[in-house]
Amino acid sequence: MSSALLAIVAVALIMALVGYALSRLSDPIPADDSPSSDQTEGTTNTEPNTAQIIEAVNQRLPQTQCAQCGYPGCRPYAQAIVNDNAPINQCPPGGTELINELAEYLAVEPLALDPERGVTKPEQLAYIVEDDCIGCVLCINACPVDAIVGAARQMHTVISDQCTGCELCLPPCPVDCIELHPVDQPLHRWQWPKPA
Amino acid sequence: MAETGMSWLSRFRSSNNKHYAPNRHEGFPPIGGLALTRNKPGLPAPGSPIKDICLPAQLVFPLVDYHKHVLTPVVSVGDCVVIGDWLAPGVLTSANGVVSAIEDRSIIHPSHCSALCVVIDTCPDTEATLAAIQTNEVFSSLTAHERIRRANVSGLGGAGFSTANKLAAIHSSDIKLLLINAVECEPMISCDEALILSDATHIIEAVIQMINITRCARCVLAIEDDKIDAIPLLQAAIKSSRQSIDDAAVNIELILLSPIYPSGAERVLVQRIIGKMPSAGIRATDQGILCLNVATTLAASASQHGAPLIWRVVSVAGSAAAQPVNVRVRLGTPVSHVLEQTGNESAINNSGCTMRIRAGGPLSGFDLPNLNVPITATTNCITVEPAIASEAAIDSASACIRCSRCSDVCPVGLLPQQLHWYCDKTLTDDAMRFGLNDCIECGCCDVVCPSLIQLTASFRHNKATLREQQLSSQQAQISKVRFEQREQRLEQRALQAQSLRRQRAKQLQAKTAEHDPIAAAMARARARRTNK
Amino acid sequence: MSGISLEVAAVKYKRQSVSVVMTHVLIALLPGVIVYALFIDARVIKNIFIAVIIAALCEAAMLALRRRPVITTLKDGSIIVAAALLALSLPQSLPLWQLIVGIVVMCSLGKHVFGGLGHNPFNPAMVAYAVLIISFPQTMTQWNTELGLLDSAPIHWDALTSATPLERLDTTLQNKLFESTNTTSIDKELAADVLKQSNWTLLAFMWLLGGVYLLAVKVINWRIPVSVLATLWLAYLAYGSLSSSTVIPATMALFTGAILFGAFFIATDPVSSATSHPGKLFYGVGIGLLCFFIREFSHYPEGFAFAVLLMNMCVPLIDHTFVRNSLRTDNAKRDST
Repeated sequence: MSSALLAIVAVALIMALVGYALSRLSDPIPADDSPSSDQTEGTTNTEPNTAQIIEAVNQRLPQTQCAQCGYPGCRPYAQAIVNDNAPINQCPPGGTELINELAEYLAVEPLALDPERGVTKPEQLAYIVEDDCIGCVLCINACPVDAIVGAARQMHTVISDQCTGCELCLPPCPVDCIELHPVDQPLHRWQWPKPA
Repeated sequence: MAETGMSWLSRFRSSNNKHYAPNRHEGFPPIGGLALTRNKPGLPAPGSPIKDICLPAQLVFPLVDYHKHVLTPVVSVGDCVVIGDWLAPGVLTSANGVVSAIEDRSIIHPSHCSALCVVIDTCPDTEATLAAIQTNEVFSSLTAHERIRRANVSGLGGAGFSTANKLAAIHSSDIKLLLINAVECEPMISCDEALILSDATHIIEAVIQMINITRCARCVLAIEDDKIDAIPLLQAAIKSSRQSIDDAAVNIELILLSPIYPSGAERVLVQRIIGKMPSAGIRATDQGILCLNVATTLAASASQHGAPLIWRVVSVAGSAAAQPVNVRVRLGTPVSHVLEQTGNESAINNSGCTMRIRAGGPLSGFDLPNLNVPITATTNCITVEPAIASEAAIDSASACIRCSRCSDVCPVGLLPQQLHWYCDKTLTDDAMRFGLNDCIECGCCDVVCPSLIQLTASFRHNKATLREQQLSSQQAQISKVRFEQREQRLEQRALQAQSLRRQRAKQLQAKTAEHDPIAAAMARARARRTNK
Repeated sequence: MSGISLEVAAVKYKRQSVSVVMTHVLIALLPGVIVYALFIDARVIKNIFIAVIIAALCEAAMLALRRRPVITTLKDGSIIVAAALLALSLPQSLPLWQLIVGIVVMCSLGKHVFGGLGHNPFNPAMVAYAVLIISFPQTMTQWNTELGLLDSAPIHWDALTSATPLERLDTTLQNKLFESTNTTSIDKELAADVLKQSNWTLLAFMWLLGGVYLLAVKVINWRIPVSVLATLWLAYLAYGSLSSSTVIPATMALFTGAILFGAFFIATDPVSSATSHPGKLFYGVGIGLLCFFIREFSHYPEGFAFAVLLMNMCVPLIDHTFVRNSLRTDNAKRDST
């Protein structure tokens, strides 16, 4: 009986040890290009190159420049993430996918998308109802990617290829003549559906 | 399971004897593929012509190009058009008539989507049209390549790539091999074979003409060895062409291949002829090989006399087809018209309930929900199959047991089971590493999979997702650059404004310093005080 | 889905579903089972029967616990084949409870722990076998010796401890050698005699027959069984010519123990074996070599289970190494650019 007890205790002990070791080891190992692995490189500057990290984070952001994150664009947000430890869950267009990607890259815990910042929407494009446009130029100044053309007291229009659907042109418009249309899938971008 | 037997045997031969020289008339053994039972109904008797389908009242021309981008029409509603007129860059009308509408219509595409189409109310053909083209001053001054472009010849095998673009991709001095593709291994599809049976002499003449145009060093005509009626016709035609033409350079090698599906696919055919698969991302034209389908060759040859590409041969077949037949169809003809004229009215009535109509063969094709879609240059076959509960197939799909049959039959040497694993886990980078983009979507792996996994569908989906990802990252890059440029501009503008402001302030200061009476008075007062 | 048919090939081209594959394996096992029951031990039928029922129940329980479709998954028949293979690998005199332990281990630790069919890195039947032989060595090596097989044998056997004929032969040869250390006369003839009289040889032929059937219906690839058998044959040949003459003749070695059974039915399990063609050869050679070493240089009379399990461990490495050449060169090109 005592030997059975010994066996149980021994096995339980070993299991606990191995389980602990495994749980420690299963911590996400940073990817090759992640900033924390730069330290292991034998480079002269032990500090990881901040500019490079900002660039890499910015590269992952969706570049809608919508400012929903509370920063005036994607690059400022990237800078805030790297320099000021801004939370990584502030980007609704990037959604959960982006959060996971950033979490992996920066080796931090993924968070749920901050609901205060908005929700992930399907792709959309701004469209100016040309009959109502008074040519006030306010939307042109608001557009972060220069996707609206027009001149003072001339009708404005959106270059749909450049529009990111950021909605920043909506508030300045004094006559509310800008609508957001969902992007209809063009034939050349049609995808085979995922099989069951 | 004859196909796996074939494939391992052939691989054994090729891998164990690196210097294995193929019999010049056999070609190289395939890497994989399936040996499917020959099933080619509806072939015409040797020498008899292919039946023409009468011109329908309306023709529909989708305004989409090879990459499925929508084209801008160059005609407007009410315009009269004659055969060979452009409707949009890259789209010709195949009949005389009046443009009755330019609108969205459903097209022959697996998406069941609709696209912008030009609808033409046809009127009967006139003999004068072709003569008018031929006597045209401009036409006579065109080069051979330009004539092919003018005739809007595109690949009639399956992909539908523009022949003129294909020729443009390769300098004529670089063409080492002109490969005429008469291989169609997929069951049911027999349009090329029908063409050969009805008109072998013209085909060989067309091939000789293409040899003269391309001035290639070597010309191979590849055909499967089970087309027993077509081969003697081709051999006889080659022989008689040798007698009639003195040109010693004209030499067409007829290579007979074992009928392994999908040897008709360009990459696979190149491998079976030269013994080596083109590497990933390398096209046949990059290697100096110009691969043309027989029907395309015929069309390219006809284009030299001014005839535009206005028809193609379509096989109507399938186990539920009332009358399997090969017919010549005007491009733009609705599928329903073809079925009606070939005596398959029951298929039209029962489409979607007891029968399903597919465009393309049983392996490479896709279902048509709507029979008003127009025939295009790539529609080689319409199959009428009894409807099956597709849920049955989906239900019974089980886990992969890694039997590796799929990699045995993969004609381009991929590892579908590995790809499936990555695609399932959406590890697109790994899937790319294992050649996802090299998949030719032939469906061989689906056929042999014992777990009934929809491999090809999953690869198609993931290829599309990958493309979409690349597209959106390109888009993001553009936005990023534009945003940064704007930021820079605003900053610069702010700096400029600031410096301007400073400058103005300074000027003002300088001005006021000179003329400011208060300051002057104060200065005088100060001076007085100090003097006291 | 919007009604788009994703299916590529029309259904009539589909063939050899998993259940058909499993049926073929069961058919291939049939002659062996019949010979086993008729000439060696009729209890095998009962054991297979019990094993299959318990395995099906256990599998159903596992699937239900994992919230997977029970009926459709059971229908593929893979669990039946695995249970039958395990029952055939075990001594028929094994107590029922130990058999049940084996089946539960096979279903749980062998298969569902890793995610069910298609995801198990080890051959489930061999996992169970290994667990049993380590846990219950005494009952596991007590092969039945009742059916008068041994009465006709020229030597007295220790009926209680004799295992497979291979072990019997092993002990015999050692005894013989021990008894007649001063004589150099060798008992190859004796060995041949023993084997000839043993119905185990007939059984081995039945496994071979089943294997040939599986090859004929293209359920298994020739590479694994051929490389296993060839490696073992060469190893015995080399060993026989190099070392003491008590080694049994190479050809005969293939007909002893579980070699043919294992080479055709165990090692060819697609889930846990290598996938590429050169990889399969490598895998087979590995099993052959390990099996030879375990047989000749360890306590265990039959090393097939351990050889298979050890090679199962190497499969990811083998698959990684033997990726199709075309892919390798392409990737090398892509990486360099």
